[in-house]
Formats: sequence, C-alpha cells, structure tokens
Amino acid sequence: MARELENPLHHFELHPIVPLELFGMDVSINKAVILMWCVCAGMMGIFYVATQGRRIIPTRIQSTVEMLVEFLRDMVLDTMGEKGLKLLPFLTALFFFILLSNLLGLVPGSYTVTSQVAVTGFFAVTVYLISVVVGLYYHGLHYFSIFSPPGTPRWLVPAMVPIEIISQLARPFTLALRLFINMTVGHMMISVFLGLAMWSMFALFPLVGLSVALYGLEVFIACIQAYIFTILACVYIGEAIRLH
Amino acid sequence: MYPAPTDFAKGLAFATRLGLELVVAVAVGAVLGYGLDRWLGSEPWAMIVGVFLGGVAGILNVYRTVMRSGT
Repeated sequence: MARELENPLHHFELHPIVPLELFGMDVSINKAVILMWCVCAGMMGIFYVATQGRRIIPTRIQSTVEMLVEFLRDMVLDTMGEKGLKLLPFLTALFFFILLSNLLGLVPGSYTVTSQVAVTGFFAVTVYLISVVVGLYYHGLHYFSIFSPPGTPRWLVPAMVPIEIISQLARPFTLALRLFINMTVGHMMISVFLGLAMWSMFALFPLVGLSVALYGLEVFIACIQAYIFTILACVYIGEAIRLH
Repeated sequence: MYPAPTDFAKGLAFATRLGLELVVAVAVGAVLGYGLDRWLGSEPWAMIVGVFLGGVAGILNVYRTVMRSGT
C-alpha cells in the first residue's frame, strides 16, 4: 500500500507555544520567535567572543569576523561611498542576522525565520524607508526629483511620474520576495525529495543522495542570499545618497 | 584580506535581481491600478493602465541596472 506523502509545507507551519495577546493582537511565542532570539543571542555571542582581547595575532573567530566586517565595509564603500559608512553597523547587523537565520534554519528540527514573508518584508520595508530618509537628509525636497529623472522630455513627465512611483514601490517587494522565495523553495525541495524517498524503496538511495546534494546547495544559497540582500540594500541606499 | 565573492555569486545576485524586478513591477502596477479602480469605481481601466505602466517600469529598471553594471 502506498504511504501518504508528507505535506512539504508542514515545515513552515507555525503553532503558538506560549499563546499571548496584546491589545487584541496575537503576539504568541512560537518557533520562529524562539529562533529569532537564538539568532540574536548567537550574533551577540559571536561578536562578544570575537572582540574580547582584540589580539594583534587574532584568534580564529576574531579573524573570521574581522574578514566579514572588512568585506562588508568594502562593499559599503563601493556602492555608497564614504557617506555610507554611517550605516555600516546597521548593514552588518542585517547581514549577520539573515546569514545566521538562513544557516540555523538548515539545522534539522529548527525553523527558517527568513521563510516568513512578514520577517523579510519587515527588513525590506525598513531598508526602503531608510533609503528615503537618507535621501531626504542629504537632498531635502530635491530628493523627489527621482520621480522625474534628468533628461526626460517635458511631454513625457506625466507618464514618467507613475512609472517611477511603481519602480520605487517595487523595490521593497523584490527585496522581500527574493529572500522569502529562495529560502522557502529550497527547504520545500529537500522535503519533497525526502518524502519521495520514504515512499519507494527503489528510489531511496538516489533520492536521498539528491537531497544531500540539495542540502549542500542550500548552505551555499543561505550565504549567497544574505550577501544579495545586503548588497541590494547598499545599492538602494547608495542611489538615494547619490541621487540619479 | 577577505574572501571575495566569486564572479559566479555576483552573477547570481545580478541575474536573480533582473528576473524578479521585471515581474514584481508588473504586479505592483496591477495592484495599484486595481486599488485605484476600487476607489474611483472605474473598473477595469486603471488596472489595465497599471499593468502597462508596471511593464514599462520593470523594463526601465532592468535597463538601468544593466547599463550601470557595464560602467
């Protein structure tokens, strides 16, 4: 008799562990919240250990964190220039949070926080709002000239303004969706292949092999997606700093 | 010294950006048009215009991204 396939979306379901309600809003503590606490604790732990002592001959963890922060610093300088360095702490925190969330989500039994569109959406909207605030800070009301780029013929301006508004509004959506889709689909594929492997003994070994290969790919994607999210945040904020 | 992301990683970042930007702009245009239609009661015209403008915005985004990457 054929066994039933496990629902590949089962991994993404959230159930309240400690039900809580605040002003009529559901603020229950679930797996995702606990994992986010773990990620924050992990980040603080890593940075605490890495900055302890500040040896001239660095320890392994100190040199790893130094390498990553230096890499982020160069990325910020490349995309945003000197002015962007003020935002380096925020972007570093963003990068490490997404990286650790993605990697912790790969531990069997845990939860991928970044597979929740609410989490990635919040990050994306925050990045977008920061880019608007930075643009207004450096250029004042002149910032709104992004809606009519220089060189636009006058008769085209009425059409360009809605087009530019749409293209600006699409930014937070693309940022949020990319991370959410990549993390969700990868986990779903592993789950589908493993589910199929359980289904038939004949296909057990090739499918488990394929799942292991996919798992390796997922580790790579977890790192790449953290990099992509951060570099696009830099690009968007950099565009607001430079304007056009 | 730091581990520079490979060209493959950079290419991947670039490619996923282009594909998604094209699609999302159309969706945003459509949703904005739909919202406008619901508000003004002008179904389905604002949504049709929104889809077209979204398509133009998507292509414009991709064009700008590609032109900038070449410099």
